[in-house]
Amino acid sequence: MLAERTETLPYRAEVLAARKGDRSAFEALVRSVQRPVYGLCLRLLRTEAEAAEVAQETFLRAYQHLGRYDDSKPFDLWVMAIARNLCLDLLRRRSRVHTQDVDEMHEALPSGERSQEEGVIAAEEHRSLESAMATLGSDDREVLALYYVQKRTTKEIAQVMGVAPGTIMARLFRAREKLRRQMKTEDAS
Amino acid sequence: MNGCPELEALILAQSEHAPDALAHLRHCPACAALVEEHRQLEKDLFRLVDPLPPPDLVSRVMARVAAEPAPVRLEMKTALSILALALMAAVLTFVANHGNIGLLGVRAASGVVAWRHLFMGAGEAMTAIWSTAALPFVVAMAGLVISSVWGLRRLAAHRVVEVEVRP
Repeated sequence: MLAERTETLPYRAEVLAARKGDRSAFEALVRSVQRPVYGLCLRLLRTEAEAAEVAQETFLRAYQHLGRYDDSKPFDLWVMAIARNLCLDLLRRRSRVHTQDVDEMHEALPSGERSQEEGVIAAEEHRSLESAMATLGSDDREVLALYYVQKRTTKEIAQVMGVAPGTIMARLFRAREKLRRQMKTEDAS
Repeated sequence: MNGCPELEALILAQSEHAPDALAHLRHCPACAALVEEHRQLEKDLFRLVDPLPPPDLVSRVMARVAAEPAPVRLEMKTALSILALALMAAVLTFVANHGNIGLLGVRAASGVVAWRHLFMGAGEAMTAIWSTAALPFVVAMAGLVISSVWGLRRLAAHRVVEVEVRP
């Protein structure tokens, strides 16, 4: 059963090759998971430069610790957990957030595909949503990003965040409720 | 909204088409509006996508990776550690015997004789048990083996994933 399950895991062949010293296999792994890793870093850190730096550091740590990776679990979730820990470490060290950083993030974060007719209104709604999200705490931003942006399951989110899967839906509701209230406040003002 | 259920519970119940929740939403415009706001918000959130990473992210990562030694598997590290410990133990034993290999041989031989006596005693005890209480012995051993295998299987199934890599 376990063998069957692990056979279906993506990135398995690349991980095995990378462990044997094949750097091109590791490069393929980086290419495959760079977007969600960078996306999570940007949502948590809110500055492009820091997100890029932490994403780089994440992949370096992943390479250095490939021997510790349990290959019966998804590789991308393992890397996301490393990225998350590095981001949280950096957030703890930060004393304050500059306003221009948040503005920078608004420019960097795109929304999904939409037609040109919807463009102007949707862009404004998107901006307002991102602006409201930026006011939330890192825990809330993280759970919203993983569930809604990256379309992860609650089980996967629990694995990345190191919490019980049963707590994720409650966290999501709380984060969404804070976001709803924040958007109401912004609309009123 | 006195008497209204908690919003979180209401949303969950509504998503499961619970009759009570649906009935409440039909008769409570305030709750219905809140649930609709959450639904709309979810719709908007699902439209968001991850940003594209910087184009040079992969090349930067690979430049740093190129400066690193090839990753070593944990098993290899463990094997090397055991080998180093064994070598250290051998050197310490050699030093403790003041480099007298002959004395070391005498001690090893007397150790073998002592272990031989121990094994012979254990064998005789086993024979005695077998001749007096074979069935209870077999049952007890089978229970021990089965519970050990079951425990090991559980341990393997619930092995903690090492996802937390810190500096």
